[in-house]
Amino acid sequence: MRFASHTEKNITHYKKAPFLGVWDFVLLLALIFAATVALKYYIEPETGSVCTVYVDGEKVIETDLLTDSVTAIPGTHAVLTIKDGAAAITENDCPNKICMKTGFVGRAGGTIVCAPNKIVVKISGGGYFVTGVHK
Amino acid sequence: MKISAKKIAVTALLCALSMMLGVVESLLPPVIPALPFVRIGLGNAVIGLAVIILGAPYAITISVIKSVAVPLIVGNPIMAIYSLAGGVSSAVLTAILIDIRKISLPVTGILSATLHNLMQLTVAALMTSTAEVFSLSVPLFLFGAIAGFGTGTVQYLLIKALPEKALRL
Repeated sequence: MRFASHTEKNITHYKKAPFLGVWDFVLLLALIFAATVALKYYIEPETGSVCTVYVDGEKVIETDLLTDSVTAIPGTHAVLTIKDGAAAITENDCPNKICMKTGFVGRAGGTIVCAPNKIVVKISGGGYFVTGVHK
Repeated sequence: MKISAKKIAVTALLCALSMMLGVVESLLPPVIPALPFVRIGLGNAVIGLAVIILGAPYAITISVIKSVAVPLIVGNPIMAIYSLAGGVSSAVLTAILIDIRKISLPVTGILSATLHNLMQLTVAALMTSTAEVFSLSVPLFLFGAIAGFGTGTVQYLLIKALPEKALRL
């Protein structure tokens, strides 16, 4: 049948195929280029100043990272801890505890995600320290 | 389509192998402690081999069974949604790329691992109804590419090392 002939050709081809061919180098170069562009946008050394918590897509808590605090996230069994300018989920009832293993996040653009309980903690920077503006 | 008993037996064998690799992998400690969901995806190395020696429909069947069975064995049924989205889409891409016979197996591995991660992130974004999970994409894609290159190399070595009599079913 059609698929049988496919496998015959595939076996013969991949038995002789080189480890990396011309097309592979073209694709790898394109991938490395895309990765470099993506990394440029990803690396932001800026520290965050605002912590926002979303549950099921709705904003439930918005707080600054300057004051240490321990808050229960409404509607869940999770606890949000803010310490030394970084935020972490320190208690939760999800099966994997991936959110807790993420630890403290303080960089702008950093996030903690708990998929089972639909919690997203997002750190955003700026706003409070814009040049010339005192909030 | 006539399916020989030998093909069914090899399909079952490869299916068991990929499930076993998936279960063993979940018992290992995370590769990177900060990103506990980053895994090597050794079970996916079997899919590419299945595409070459059995054909695309067999490989996709193996991928579906593996994606549902491994989360159930591990005891994390929610993971099945992620596995199914990532595993089946990357199996389809692997089948297409292998059947066009233009690019080599390691690069096929990189591309299908990237699609796997992309689909899982999309499912995560839909489930949490936020786009913020995409901020994880850079480390995920980076390690996914390394892991995909590794599994592709495993496939390449398997095809070269196995005797041709064993491959032709």
